[in-house]
Amino acid sequence: MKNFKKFFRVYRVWVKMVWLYHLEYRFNAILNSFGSVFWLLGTLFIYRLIFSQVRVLAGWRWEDLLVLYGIYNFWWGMMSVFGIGGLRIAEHIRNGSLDRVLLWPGSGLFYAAMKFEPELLLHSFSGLLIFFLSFKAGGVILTVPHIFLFLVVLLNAFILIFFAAVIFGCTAFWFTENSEVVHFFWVWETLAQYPSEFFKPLKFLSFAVYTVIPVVFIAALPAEVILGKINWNLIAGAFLATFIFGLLARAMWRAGLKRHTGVSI
Amino acid sequence: MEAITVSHLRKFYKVHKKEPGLLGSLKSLFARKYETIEAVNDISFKIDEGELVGFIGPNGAGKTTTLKSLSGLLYPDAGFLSVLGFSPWDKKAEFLKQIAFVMGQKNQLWWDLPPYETFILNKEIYEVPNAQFEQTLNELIDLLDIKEVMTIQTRKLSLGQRMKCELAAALIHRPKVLFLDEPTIGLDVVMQKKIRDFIKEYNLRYKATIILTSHYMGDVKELAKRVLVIDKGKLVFDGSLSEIIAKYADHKLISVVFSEPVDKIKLKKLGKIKSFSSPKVVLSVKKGQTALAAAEILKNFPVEDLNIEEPAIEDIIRELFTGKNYA
Amino acid sequence: MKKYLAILKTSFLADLAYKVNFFFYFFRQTLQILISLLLWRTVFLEKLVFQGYSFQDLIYYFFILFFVQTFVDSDAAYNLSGLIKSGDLSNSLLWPLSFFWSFFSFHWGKKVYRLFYFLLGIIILAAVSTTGMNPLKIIIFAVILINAALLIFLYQFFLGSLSFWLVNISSTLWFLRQITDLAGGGWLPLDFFPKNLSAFARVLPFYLTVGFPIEFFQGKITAVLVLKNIFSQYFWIFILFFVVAFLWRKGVKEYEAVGK
Repeated sequence: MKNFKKFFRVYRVWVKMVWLYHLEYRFNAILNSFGSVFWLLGTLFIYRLIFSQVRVLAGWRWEDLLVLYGIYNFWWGMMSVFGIGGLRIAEHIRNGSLDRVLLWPGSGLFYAAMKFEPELLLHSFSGLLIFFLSFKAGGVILTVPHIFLFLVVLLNAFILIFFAAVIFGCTAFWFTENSEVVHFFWVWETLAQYPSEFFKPLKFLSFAVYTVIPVVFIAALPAEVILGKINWNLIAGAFLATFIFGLLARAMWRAGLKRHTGVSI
Repeated sequence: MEAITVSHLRKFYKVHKKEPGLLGSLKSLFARKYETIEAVNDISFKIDEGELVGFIGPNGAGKTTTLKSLSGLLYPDAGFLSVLGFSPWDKKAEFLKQIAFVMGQKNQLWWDLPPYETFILNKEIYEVPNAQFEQTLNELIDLLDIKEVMTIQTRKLSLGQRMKCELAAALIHRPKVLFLDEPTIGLDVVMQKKIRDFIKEYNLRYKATIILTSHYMGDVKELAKRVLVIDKGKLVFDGSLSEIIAKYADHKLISVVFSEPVDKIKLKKLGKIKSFSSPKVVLSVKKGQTALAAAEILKNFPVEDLNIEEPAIEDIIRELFTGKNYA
Repeated sequence: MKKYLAILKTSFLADLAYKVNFFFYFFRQTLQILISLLLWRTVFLEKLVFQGYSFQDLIYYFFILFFVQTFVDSDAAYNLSGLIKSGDLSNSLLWPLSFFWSFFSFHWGKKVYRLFYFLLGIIILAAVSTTGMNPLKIIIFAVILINAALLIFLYQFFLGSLSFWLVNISSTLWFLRQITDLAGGGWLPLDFFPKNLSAFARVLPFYLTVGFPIEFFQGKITAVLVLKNIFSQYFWIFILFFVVAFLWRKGVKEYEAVGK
């Protein structure tokens, strides 16, 4: 508990420093903010194009897809702002700041993965907006147990991908030039905006989205929950996945550190 | 009271060798050849609390590797390490809060923010109580004279001002042990002196144990009473600078100012000419023969002034590193 | 000239060393196309013909898209902005070479391995082409592609030079890329847009980089339009070249070597 309190204090100072930095470069921050929202709208536009000719897509109506899309973008924005710091491990190694971080008393991993990127807050907010707007079309079930389960599953999604980011970021310990690995992570993440039914035609991919990085648990699962389609097996799988990824992340970090610090295994 | 103990430290690296050219690149895609490099090969020494010690050695000698091992950043392949009673590798919070590692070229100050912000960050990271923070900060401001600059964005500061603030940031938590890796690199002469004075003062005031590596003999001469010479991973000398001179300098320098131009060839008989810019000449003469040579010069040449000096430490060290016998 | 060839060779060798990156790059490219196809398959399951395309037509489109992008794609903007941000640009500016041409050689050196990949694609495409291939068509296609690649390179160089004034443009670059991709036919065939939007998109220069080469290969453009578009390509290359030269000179003047 004491560690958590300390970490939050440090994080608070960190956030303040990042804010100050972005205030310095206001123009950039705003440009980036709007840029990402444009991207969000662009994809929405394409969906609209499709649904102007089609009524249902793999069993999902436009209104249901909106729910999923809103959740995904809210989640994506939030993760980009706070959560995918693990990917920064590569940067740290490259510019030597990892050593500095390792000298700080406390958990090296949390410090290395500390991240705050306010530019994507607008994107997150837009996603949230879309999510709320989708309520109008109906189909969303807003009872207390549903909402609670929804929030729990969503929280799980944050933690799951935090660990995934750490795992991918740690590859930098072995391959210093891991920009494409990180790129791959981003691309794979975008799969989360689609319902799992979309992947059915390709057996191997369909399996992979549950295992390689289980992106179905990010937005599709919470969307299904709030839309009333509750699959307990899937939910259990989501928590299991988070647990496994947590172990993997810890193992990767440790192994990576050993290598970085020249421990001959 | 011992602050740092190093016993038979060994550290080696595996580096992969690649043949040059296109074929070599393709080969390395499939099969790699590795070579072992002994960065530190059996080094032992002890440092007491409050000592200010200099590490000198050529590039790649093992200085930084030793420091990194002492701070817990590297895992020793063999040997025993103890700093303030802790095993560095465990990286216990208590241990980390008492040490600081300043790496000359690497900055921890945020580029676009004033140094003060980084001070606050470090305060939180090291859990420095408010009162102590205020006090330490004031003392550092005083010693380093950074009152105005610490509230200016780092990128707008000169290299010297930045270095002073980097030092302050590293010392906010009042560490008992300091590892300074090339702290004055790239600084001008005035700034170098200021930093040296600060280090000396810090050492005296807080009884901090300091290990300093530097390529500038000025740093070492001014600060370190005790010097450890490391070369090719081995500790070749541990003692004071004057001892180095006594042990390794086998010659002395006679510098003469002549009142009339003299014949170079005649001078060469007495010793090696190190520099000849009439009317001043510097001769290098073997230790035992110095008095004799001086007498000869005074007798046979028109001398205006004559001086017998120890050779420059820089020269001794340089000769030491370029293959002389350490025995 | 020899100096630039040397840079090309070194750049090619350097990239090969990052083998994992190399593998993941192709893996990722393939993945992206796969995802697109998968999604569209879902759409085509609902409706057999979408905006005049059958699923097969769409696959063919993506196939061509894949190979065109492999050839014309560029990350010059990232490289350039990286050099500027880090202050490493100073080193390059000190070389007794024109920065622009050495950067050009460096950039194209990295592309050499893409060239092999691309040539393979051309052979496959020619084999499955629905409208037939003849030597003239191949030559014109090559010309269009080279122009497109030059256009993108210059555009990226332009964007990269903005780093002299704007800090941290990498996210901006990425999003701009999304926009230009969308408008240029990199996400879907421009035919999929509502009529007025697609007409508008074809007027924009982004079309000339990806959409135009693909549509040419598909045989969807009249000879007159082909000529007109090729001319437009040269026009934009010309304009961009001067804009870039001007911006660059201004930028270098403002540039302070940031010693980090």
